[in-house]
Amino acid sequence: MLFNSLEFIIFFPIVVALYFIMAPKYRWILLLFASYYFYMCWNYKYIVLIAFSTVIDYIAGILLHHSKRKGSRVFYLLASLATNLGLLFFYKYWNFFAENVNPVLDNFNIFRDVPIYQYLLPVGISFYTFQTLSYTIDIFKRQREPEYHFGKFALFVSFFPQLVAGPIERSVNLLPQFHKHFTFDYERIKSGILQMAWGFFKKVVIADRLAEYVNLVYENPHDYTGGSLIIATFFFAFQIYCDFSGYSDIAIGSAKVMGYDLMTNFKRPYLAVNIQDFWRRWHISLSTWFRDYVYIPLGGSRVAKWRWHFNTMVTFLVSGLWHGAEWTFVIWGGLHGAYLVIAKISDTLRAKFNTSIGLLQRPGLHRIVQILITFVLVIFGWIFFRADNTSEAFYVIRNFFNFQGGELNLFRVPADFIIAFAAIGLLIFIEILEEQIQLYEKLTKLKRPVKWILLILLTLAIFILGMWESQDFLYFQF
Amino acid sequence: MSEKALRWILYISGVVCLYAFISIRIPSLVMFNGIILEKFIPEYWENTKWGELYYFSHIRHFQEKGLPPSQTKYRFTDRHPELTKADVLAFGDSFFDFSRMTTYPEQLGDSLDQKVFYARMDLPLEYLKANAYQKGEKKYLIYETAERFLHYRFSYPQNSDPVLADTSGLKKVFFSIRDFFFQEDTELKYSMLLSRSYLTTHAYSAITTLKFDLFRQITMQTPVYSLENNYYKDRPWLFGASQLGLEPGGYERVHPEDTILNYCDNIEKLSKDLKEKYNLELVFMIIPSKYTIYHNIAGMEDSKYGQFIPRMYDELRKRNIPVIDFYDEMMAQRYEKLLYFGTDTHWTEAGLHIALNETLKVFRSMEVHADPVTASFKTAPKNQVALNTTH
Repeated sequence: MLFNSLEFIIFFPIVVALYFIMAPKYRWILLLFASYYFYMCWNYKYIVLIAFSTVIDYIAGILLHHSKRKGSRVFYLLASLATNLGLLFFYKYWNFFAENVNPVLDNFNIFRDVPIYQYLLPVGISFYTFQTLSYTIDIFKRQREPEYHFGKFALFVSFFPQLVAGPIERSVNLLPQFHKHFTFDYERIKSGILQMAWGFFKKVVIADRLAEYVNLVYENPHDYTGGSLIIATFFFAFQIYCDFSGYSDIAIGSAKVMGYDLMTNFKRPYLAVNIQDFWRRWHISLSTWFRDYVYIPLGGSRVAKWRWHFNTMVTFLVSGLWHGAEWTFVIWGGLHGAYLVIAKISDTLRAKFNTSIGLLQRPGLHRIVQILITFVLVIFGWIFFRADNTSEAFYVIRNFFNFQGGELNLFRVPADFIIAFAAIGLLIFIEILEEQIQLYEKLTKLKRPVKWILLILLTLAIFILGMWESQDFLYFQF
Repeated sequence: MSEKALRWILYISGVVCLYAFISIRIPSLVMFNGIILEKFIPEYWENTKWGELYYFSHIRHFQEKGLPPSQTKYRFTDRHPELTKADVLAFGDSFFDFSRMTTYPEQLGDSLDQKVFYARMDLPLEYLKANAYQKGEKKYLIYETAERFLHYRFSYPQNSDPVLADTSGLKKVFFSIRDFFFQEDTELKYSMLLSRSYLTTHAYSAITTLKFDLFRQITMQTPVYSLENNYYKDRPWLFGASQLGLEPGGYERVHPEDTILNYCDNIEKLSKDLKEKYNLELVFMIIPSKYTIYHNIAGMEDSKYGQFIPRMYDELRKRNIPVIDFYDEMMAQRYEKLLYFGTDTHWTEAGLHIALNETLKVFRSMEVHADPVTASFKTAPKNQVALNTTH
């Protein structure tokens, strides 16, 4: 079930109404049913995978906690990791592995191909797998107690607002909330609904509108040059941001309506002043996951310099691979790792340069320059992220400044070109405001008629400017 | 707004949504909402005041005037014979079932003075097996397909001995529960509920019309339209997406020779199976898309046509499969008569008569008696079966 579907718009109020009617101690049953139904609407057979992971991790968690012997504990942890990562590898990476291994085998005259399977990638498998992995690893590290209530643990794995595209929650944050009894809270519900509405705006008004242009160009990049490639890449930067952060807003907002707090996943990433700052603002639940379960176990930054850079590169290459079983994603991850390593190496040099040209004396201008440079670097990375393969990505790069004329407005409805830029402008304006002030708090203090006018305008914009015939969320494929 | 008011709004929204959830799943509630789901409510044809394509766009400018009213479909009248008692079988899609006029199978029955059975489906072997049809004396089976559907129906051979779905016992219970909760096309059904329900249809139409007026935004299901500059200035035009461009059933698609041969192989196989198993002679008919005939209205050139229909018929003729070919006739008459409705996918009675006349020519060539059809063709009273009709 997609958030931007009528199916969800019908489903959600039913769940919310039943949720507040039910006695609090039975609400987990409703939410578990609702979550499984939510997932099964996509493909009812694949619920077996979630159920299987749930059972394995539930048992592994309890055994890990009660086992005293280190060997047994390692065994239980490995069993959990093998099950979860095995399923993820089989469904997501097997064909990628086979496609890359088979030519190598052929080179060595070993003509026994690794088979390639045709099956559907389970939606959200990367998200719920990482969520359950963090649970067992945390218990292994004695950082939390296991959850003994099987139903509530199953709900933690499958909680519908964040099941298929995150935020990837930590058990220490989400599981205790399933034991709380939330009352009907006017302010919280209002804030949740508003966040959902803003998410819908970003998804259906901005992301889905930009998708038309981006898809047209990136599906046949060789038909386009210069201007169209630049616009398509610029649009993709905002498409993926609005698509994914819009999803996160709807997820966080819908959980908030029922009383649950999910972690913030985006904090105005295109206002980041460097790549490190970008990763503190982009897909926060994933980047902190990689920090805690890959980067730090590798030694983090408390090692020799070369090892530190190595750790950074490994973390980002794995993060790239997490996004998809394609070399383009690996390059994208590697590129961001390289940005960070180069930034560290050139730290002193850049500081000297900035001082020599007097940029440090003008902090406002310095900040704008930093934001623009970071944005350009990020956009360059998006080319690999969006291109269907590496040769197309390199074609886009080679022809980025190859201006040969041609129509720039490729939208089916010409007015969409202006609406797209206007909507991006509005988004940037709002994000700059949010960076300066607590926008939501300011909005709540406005006079009631003004608040109503703003709410009506937002709703009308969603209905009138929204592209409702529509697109999956980009991050569903991961 | 007070907390109490918000609480009630949420509860009421929940109840309304629960009603919507159930109503797309229960036929009587579907009817109550004025949704057209013909599968469940065959005789219910409310909310079709305008052309079918209008209901995709819901833009008021495309409310085409002068459409004939809908009537009970032939297959639901008492003129429709049982499968086993029919003289001619006609299998096809909505063109043979179009309710704004006396349908093609019905008019064919009157013209041949024979009982014509019609079923809306595309897998004759499966249908005949499921309905225990027995091999008997030689009969004709007219297989009709809209141009844009041929790709889907004949990309692969139809199974000579189809396995019928087992719907007994526990499986039946399982499937009915599954189908209730996990329906296909849920989004489409909700969309129909929203756009056609009496409660919401006016608001829905107001928004889509406003979007069109402000930005010329229109649904991707009918991306090509014309409100002016056409040969029929008195009516608006909408064209469905699946008839356009380079899509498999699209106007500009030039199918490779292999593909044409593959389609014809599969049609020939069907013809042989029907003859062997049921002694039925296949007569094949492709109905041109409205866009194939009236593309000029949308500014498209004749020369861009991929020649799908002429190429298919050439190949089928080589294989001695009888075909009902009226593509050239329609092209010749397209500006003399309105052959398709402007905002509907389907043909007008004038279009139907061209097809019918060509059918009768084919039947005469096979030495079957057939009365000519004219524009003033009259059908039998509703309570008489076709066999008893007098002209």
